[in-house]
Amino acid sequence: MPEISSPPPEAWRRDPHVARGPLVQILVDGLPLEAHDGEPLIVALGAAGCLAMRRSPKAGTPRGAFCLMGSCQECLVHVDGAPVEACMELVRSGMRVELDRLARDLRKLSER
Amino acid sequence: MHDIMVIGGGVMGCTTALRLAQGGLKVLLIEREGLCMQASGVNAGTLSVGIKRASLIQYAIRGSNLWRTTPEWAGFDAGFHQIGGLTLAFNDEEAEMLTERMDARKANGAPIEMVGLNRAKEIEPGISNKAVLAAYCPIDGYANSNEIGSGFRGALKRAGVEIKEFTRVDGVEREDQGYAARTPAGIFRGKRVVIAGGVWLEELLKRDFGINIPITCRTNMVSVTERLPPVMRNVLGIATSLLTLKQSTNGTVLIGGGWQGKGDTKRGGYEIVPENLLSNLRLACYVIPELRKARIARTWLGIEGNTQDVMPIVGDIPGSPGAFVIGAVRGGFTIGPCMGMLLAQYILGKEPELPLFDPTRVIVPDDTIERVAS
Amino acid sequence: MTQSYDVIVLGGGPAGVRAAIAARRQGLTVAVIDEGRRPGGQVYRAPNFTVSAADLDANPDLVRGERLRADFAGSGAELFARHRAWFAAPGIKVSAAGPEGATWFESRALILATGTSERAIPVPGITLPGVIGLAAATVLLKAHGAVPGSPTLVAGVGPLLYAVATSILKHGGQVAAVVDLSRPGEWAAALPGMISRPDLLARGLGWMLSLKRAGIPIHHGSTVTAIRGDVNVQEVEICPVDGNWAPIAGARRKTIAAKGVAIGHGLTPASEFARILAIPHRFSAERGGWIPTLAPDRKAMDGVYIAGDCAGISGAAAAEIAGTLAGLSAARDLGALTDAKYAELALPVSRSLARAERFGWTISKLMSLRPGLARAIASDTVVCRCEDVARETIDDAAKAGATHVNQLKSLTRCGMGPCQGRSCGEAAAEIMAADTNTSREAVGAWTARTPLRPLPLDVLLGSYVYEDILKPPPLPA
Ligand SMILES: Cc1cc2nc3c(=O)[nH]c(=O)nc-3n(C[C@H](O)[C@H](O)[C@H](O)COP(=O)(O)OP(=O)(O)OC[C@H]3O[C@@H](n4cnc5c(N)ncnc54)[C@H](O)[C@@H]3O)c2cc1C
Ligand SMILES: Cc1cc2nc3c(=O)[nH]c(=O)nc-3n(C[C@H](O)[C@H](O)[C@H](O)COP(=O)(O)OP(=O)(O)OC[C@H]3O[C@@H](n4cnc5c(N)ncnc54)[C@H](O)[C@@H]3O)c2cc1C
Ligand code: FES
Repeated sequence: MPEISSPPPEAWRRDPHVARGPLVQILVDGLPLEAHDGEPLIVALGAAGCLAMRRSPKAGTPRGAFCLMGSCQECLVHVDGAPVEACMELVRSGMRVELDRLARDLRKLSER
Repeated sequence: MHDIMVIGGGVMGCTTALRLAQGGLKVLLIEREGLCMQASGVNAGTLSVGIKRASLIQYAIRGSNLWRTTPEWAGFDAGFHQIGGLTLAFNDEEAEMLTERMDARKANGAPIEMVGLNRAKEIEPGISNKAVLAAYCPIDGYANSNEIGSGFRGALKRAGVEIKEFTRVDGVEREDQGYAARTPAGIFRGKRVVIAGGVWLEELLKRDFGINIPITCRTNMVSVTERLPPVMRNVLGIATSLLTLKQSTNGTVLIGGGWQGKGDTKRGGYEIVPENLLSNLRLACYVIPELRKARIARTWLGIEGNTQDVMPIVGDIPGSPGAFVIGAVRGGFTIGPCMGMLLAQYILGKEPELPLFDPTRVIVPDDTIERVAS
Repeated sequence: MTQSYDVIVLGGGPAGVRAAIAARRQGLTVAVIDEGRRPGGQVYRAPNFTVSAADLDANPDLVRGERLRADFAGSGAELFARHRAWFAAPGIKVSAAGPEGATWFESRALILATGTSERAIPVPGITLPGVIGLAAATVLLKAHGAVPGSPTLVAGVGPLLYAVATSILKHGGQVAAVVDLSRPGEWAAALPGMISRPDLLARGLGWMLSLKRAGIPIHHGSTVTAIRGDVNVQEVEICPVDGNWAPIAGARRKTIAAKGVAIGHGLTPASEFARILAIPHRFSAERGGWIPTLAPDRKAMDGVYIAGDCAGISGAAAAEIAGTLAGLSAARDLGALTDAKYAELALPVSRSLARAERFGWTISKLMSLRPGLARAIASDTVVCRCEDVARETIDDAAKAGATHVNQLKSLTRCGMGPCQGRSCGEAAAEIMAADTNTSREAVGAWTARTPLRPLPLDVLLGSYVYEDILKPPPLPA
């Protein structure tokens, strides 16, 4: 599994002293990603260095989570085809996450 | 002293005022709020000729054309898009109603073609397979109602109309020289006056002109989704006219159709009726199943007025020379610019292109009204 | 299916939980609706992980939160967790969308306790991924046990600056700097008001001290003027401000390297449901913005009570007490408490509320928005994130004659996107007030629209056939 060995400095980090749910696999734009069962999707994405969820509809600038409370709608992704706020959605094994195409390219960038 | 005062700055008041100014009159427009913030700014923006009442088809065709050509006669772009309209029937009863209604509209000049499911799916691939019959009207479309207030503000200023926004008219009185409008900002005078007060017409006509024209207040709910990938191309409706559905160029889908919320002329639309909202949304998702994946971003309410025969009142106010009324037009966003043009033609002493709608027919005697002394 | 309760509480934060407990204690049936998985709200947000004894030792908020949750669990009030309320009407009808679809409720009383939204006045680069809200950072830290980019620059106003910076360090992250709009003198001036809660005061001072000890630079009287980076945050430019929070022209700007930013300029009441219910509001800069008008017993209209920060920013301690008061008042009005008994129970509560508010209002005043910040927004800076509306577009709308934010909305789509203006409302209104040379009162507030937050149709509509759809008589031919 291509777990990113050393995440880039902008990536979020999980405090290693905190006890979390078991590791499960989710699919982000078809690529597998390890995440903790029950943690917010945004944490799984952020910890993988994937901070851009989508691009703004008019100007096309990259956007990512801002409010972390389901208000700003900047973290919108699709899970199993449905639009959801990544900050409110909880990780479950096998969930299929789709980012905006631009964000997808950015993620490839950060994986290099 | 102005040549004429227009009271109410919705689509009826704005277009009348603009045409009058273009015809050479010195016009004052008085509006309680900002221009087009009531029905004219919050409506669904659908310009469907194909679902208008048969007797209003010619007015609707002209209205829709006028929205297309605003850059020419008003100097602003109203966001007009002609995308075609498809009206569906889902059972035999609706199919019968659709055929009957569309026949009458066709007879009055609407370019409507009746089509079966296969052809309908070519026109609109996303529709449900359960439709049994459809009517296609290629000239249907929409405009951006929420932007027309600023468009008209500029147009009216350019035409030399004096605009008083956020100025409520508390009474209109007849004087030797014409009419005086009382407002918190002072008294304004005009030789003539046009009352374009939307759903408040009943109250204005009763208070200031002593005539009783009952206007029912309808509180329409409109919902909009967040931006979506393309899910539809046309304006969609159903035979009963209880649905209008379209996707704008920005990707949002507007869902309306005159489903009722709670509202009145005092408070405006103040409460969503959930059963009606759900039915409206269910109908929309029934027509375009792909919509189920969308999220609703907003639902809002707006109020409009209908006369007892659900036909417009546009013409002289009986008993008050030099006073005119315009309003109560079902589908009034589409038809509004045409009505404003016709009334202005009449006031300017020309023969209106199409007949006006004499209010006398819907006056109901009311003993409680004291006749205003003239 | 419709669920019936005597009392529905919207929001399971300190205010909502205490309201529910108080009403339940008088024998009423109570349901609490909250989006979160467990009660606690923002300040006492339930950690999303297993809490250790050491965690509890280190964090008094966690202790209070656990107590709140324990009290709630023992109260017999029901919790509809992971349910987002989207509809409320007098009478009283409420609907909430949960994982299994929409649930409809009816009740005799409604208590609004929906808390706050964070205010963030835009600067160039604020939309870069990796820039999050300051209050948002508390969620990341305390609920998810994760830290933002390393290092993170923490900027804005109020005690959360120091809480967040300390917590980032505690969770193993790095802090580039703290950039505080307030000067030490302003903090000192707030001391008398904060003395009513020596424990909280001591904690705040403790945060500042530990940051000093860790060698974290603290820039007082300064603001962020730009966040730079192409794809991610690279550096942040800061500048000293004047007493109005306007960056001082000609002052030396400083650039700080950072990989993440947490930025917030205070909180504003999330009173959208009160607005939907047409409860009148008034503007109070010191309480965070437009606040609903209500009686001292928390009643706002027939059957509707409001408690906590959604009635005006007053802080967590005041939220709990106001919640209790709201619960008691609802119980009295529903006949579960005699007037005499109510007076006996409510009097001490009102007294301690006044004490708690003294502290909360001091902080809220410290954080209240000053006009310089929004006026300094550059013309090409995006104000409305959802619709990409820049400052200059707002200026143009004002020039074209818009005088109210609702006109601005229809003219420019500013505030018309899926967040309904929660992200940009404060900045847009400040700009309008400046442009029209009027006031926040004059430019008004955006109309709140059901469902407040985007609502999935799939969840709402459930399965149905054509015949299930209501068919009012067709419109005339
Ligand atoms: C929610 C909704 C959706 C609709 N959807 C469509 C659609 O898709 N397509 C379509 O063709 N039609 C639609 N309509 C109908 C259409 O919007 C109306 O018929 C049309 O806008 C009416 O225009 P008006 O100028 O008569 O009224 P309004 O726009 O209501 O204007 C009347 C004005 O008079 C002012 N006024 C009243 N009293 C006073 C006073 N005392 N002093 C000063 N000013 C006063 C008011 O403030 C108001 O601005 C819809 C209507 C609603 C409410
Ligand atoms: C993100 C954030 C973090 C904060 N962190 C701190 C902190 O660390 N320390 C501190 O002292 N103060 C913090 N605050 C300030 C906080 O507002 C108060 O301290 C305190 O939490 C107020 O309590 P309350 O009960 O009024 O509201 P809240 O605690 O905000 O509780 C409101 C609750 O209502 C729920 N809710 C809102 N709308 C809906 C809806 N439509 N449907 C369902 N549920 C809904 C929310 O999920 C939330 O649980 C924070 C504020 C925010 C916005
Ligand atoms: S971060 Fe704002 S909605 Fe998710």
